[in-house]
Amino acid sequence: MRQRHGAAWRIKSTIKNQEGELSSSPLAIVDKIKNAIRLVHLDEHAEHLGIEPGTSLADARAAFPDIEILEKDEKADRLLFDAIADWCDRYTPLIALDKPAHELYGQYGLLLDITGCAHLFGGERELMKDVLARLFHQGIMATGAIAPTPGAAWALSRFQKPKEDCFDSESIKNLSQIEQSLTPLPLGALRLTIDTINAMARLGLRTIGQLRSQPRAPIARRFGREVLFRLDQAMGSIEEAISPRRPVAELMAECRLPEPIALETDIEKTTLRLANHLCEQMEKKGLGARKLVLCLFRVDGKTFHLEAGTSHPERDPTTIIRLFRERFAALQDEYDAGYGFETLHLCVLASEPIRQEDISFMQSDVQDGSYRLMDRLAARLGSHNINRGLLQNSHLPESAEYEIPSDEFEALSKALNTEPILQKYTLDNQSPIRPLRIFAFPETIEAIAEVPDGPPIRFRWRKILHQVTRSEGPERIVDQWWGKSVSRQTRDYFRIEDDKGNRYWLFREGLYERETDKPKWYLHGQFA
Amino acid sequence: MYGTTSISASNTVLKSMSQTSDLHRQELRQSLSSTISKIENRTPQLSEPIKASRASLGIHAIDKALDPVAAKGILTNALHEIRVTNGLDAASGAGFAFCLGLMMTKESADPDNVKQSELPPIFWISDHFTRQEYGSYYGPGLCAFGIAPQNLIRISPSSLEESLWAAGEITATHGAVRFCLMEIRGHPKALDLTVTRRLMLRAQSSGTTILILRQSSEEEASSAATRWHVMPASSRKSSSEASPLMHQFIGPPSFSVSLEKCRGGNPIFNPFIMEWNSNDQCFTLSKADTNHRIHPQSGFRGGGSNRVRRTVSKIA
Repeated sequence: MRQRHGAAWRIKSTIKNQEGELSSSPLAIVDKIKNAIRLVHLDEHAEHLGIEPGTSLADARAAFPDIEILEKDEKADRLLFDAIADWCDRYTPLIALDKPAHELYGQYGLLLDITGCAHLFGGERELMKDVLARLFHQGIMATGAIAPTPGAAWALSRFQKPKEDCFDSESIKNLSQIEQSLTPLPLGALRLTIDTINAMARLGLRTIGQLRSQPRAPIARRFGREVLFRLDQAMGSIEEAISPRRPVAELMAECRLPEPIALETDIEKTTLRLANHLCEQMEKKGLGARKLVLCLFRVDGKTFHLEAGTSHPERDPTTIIRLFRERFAALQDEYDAGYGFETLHLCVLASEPIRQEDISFMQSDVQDGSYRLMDRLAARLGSHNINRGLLQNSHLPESAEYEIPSDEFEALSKALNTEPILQKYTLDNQSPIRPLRIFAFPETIEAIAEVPDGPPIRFRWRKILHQVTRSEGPERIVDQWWGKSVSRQTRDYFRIEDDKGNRYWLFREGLYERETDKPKWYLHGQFA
Repeated sequence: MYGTTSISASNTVLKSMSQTSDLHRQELRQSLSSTISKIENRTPQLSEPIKASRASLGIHAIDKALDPVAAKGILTNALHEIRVTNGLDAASGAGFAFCLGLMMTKESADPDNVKQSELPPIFWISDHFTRQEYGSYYGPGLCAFGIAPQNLIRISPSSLEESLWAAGEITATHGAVRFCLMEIRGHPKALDLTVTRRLMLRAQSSGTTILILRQSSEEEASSAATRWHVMPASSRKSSSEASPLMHQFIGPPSFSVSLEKCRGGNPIFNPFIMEWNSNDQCFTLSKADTNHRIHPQSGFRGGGSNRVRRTVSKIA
């Protein structure tokens, strides 16, 4: 919607012409609900005309022929919502998503746990004003409320009467105030299903106050326990926890800047300051960081999250900065400073205690150097691009070795105890000879064999004909009969040397006459 | 600020002293740089002459060609290039590169005392395309060469710039790496004299061996210390003629190698056949070649077409 109408999309609809009428046509978002196309969201103009969400498109068109229609884009909504949630990270690290319960009446919401954060913004009320004003200037009309329970905040933010200053909102300090402010609100404020609300409305129960005046037992029997549960949650007699969308940082350092910064060197300097601060804190606790995230908040609301991991607990600020420098280099096109960043966060997501022996004088520089090298490589290239081979105890060539990311290697190899398998391959001369290079997917070849079960005498691979001079085999590899996997055909592997001296690992799939009439040939690898 | 002014001052002093003898000048430079470091409150960093460390390849004739003075073999703290012309020979090139790398780092890794898995890692840099085209390295196959698969760290960057960066980072760590093998396909423009020179200098200063394995590549100017051209060689004919069955068997890895470029030494253009003995981890020269003698071409350096080279080798 914003893309089509620009930043002024919501203002445009409210501009009045000389006769005092709204100039533009009303706008509505439609979606398919139960096989009927209905209006789901409306702009102010449409609301002003008295159209209600849930009206079918045909009805709306009949009443207001000039209504403008846009189709609902769930994915775009979701992306915008995530972006707003990211942006809200500046206020508190604890943010939970509140997805609409019903496609017709629901609105996206965010629950921010601002415990202990409000004083940084000059009090609860000031914080709320700041959130709403900044969102408004980005073209998003939001309402908000502060309450001691998530349920009450949810109800007030949606159902309280708007104040004169549209950025100001209710702020409830204690539990006793909740009852007073919730009493006049409709039952919809209790996060109940539409059916329950309708059923209660038939009995004349319309507000929370009316519900509270009823005896509890009959209500529970009639409408289920959900109603009372939600009521208690809102009133604060049942504890409700929110689930944050991002892992909560163990330690965090923040820097809010009076002037936005855009240069990489400036960002680096600021990050170093934050890192210094964090490292001091970690030193006090005897910890070292294993996973760090740097959040950059751009002036126009976009946020960047840069993660960096270390293979070893780390609390040296310059090393941490070097990791993020590699991350910056890897981002390249994705990273765009735009008009600059106004707030920076550096968080420690995971930490481990640094043991005394780790920082002793006997520490080997070589070991340390290799740890840091791996961290830098992983930061720039991505940890999935740095692999090691882990041998498996399997006779199938494909599953004899797995490539796993280097940072997971130590834990995995210890857990699986791969040392004996390695011994088997290196020390035991009886183990079968395996190629140096292997193709992830065996490549089809055309081969001609003298006898159906024998080795090939010539074969064509990648359009080139190879004349076989020497061959060893077959080595018969049968599928794991004890496994549940799809049984594949028997493979007869041959080691082949061609007239040029190249050595190949070929196999014939399927036993002639017993498994198939036309066995296929494949090339699986090359020997040195 | 303070540091820069003192350096420029020392430069002018050096210029004025240009007439003095070389020895005197070097002494003067060292004393000046130590004074500057004292002023800047850091430990003096004198540019020490880099020591050339060499490793024998186990074959005297080749060692002699590589180091005509002392026959000590190949430079270990350097960049070496291994070239493969044909895409089908990819595995041969890789095999030879590993063998060469193992020979060069043999002394640092004593096979009797240290377990394979505890040695410093070997780095292998190659992009995704190269892996798909020529195949990935296979752990059980590496074991046969005496390399534990977990010791080979496989890095797959998305561009040549990233590979070069990774190689630079790897060589910057002192002693944490056994050797670094970089696989490059064809003739990328970014891999020019300057880049290879930079890698060469890094290798020299840190003492790390860098091997560049160039797949499907023709001769190209580079700053590498040596360039080897590798082709596969057929298994040697069994000496015991009595059993015809033995003819069928495939021998140990064998390579037909020529030393196309050798800085400070004599190139060997006439291909000779080297076999790899994986039990003892050493090269052996095939019998035909020991009789035939390897002839380093002294005074002939690089360039020229294959035909010219062949005639030269015939004369030799």
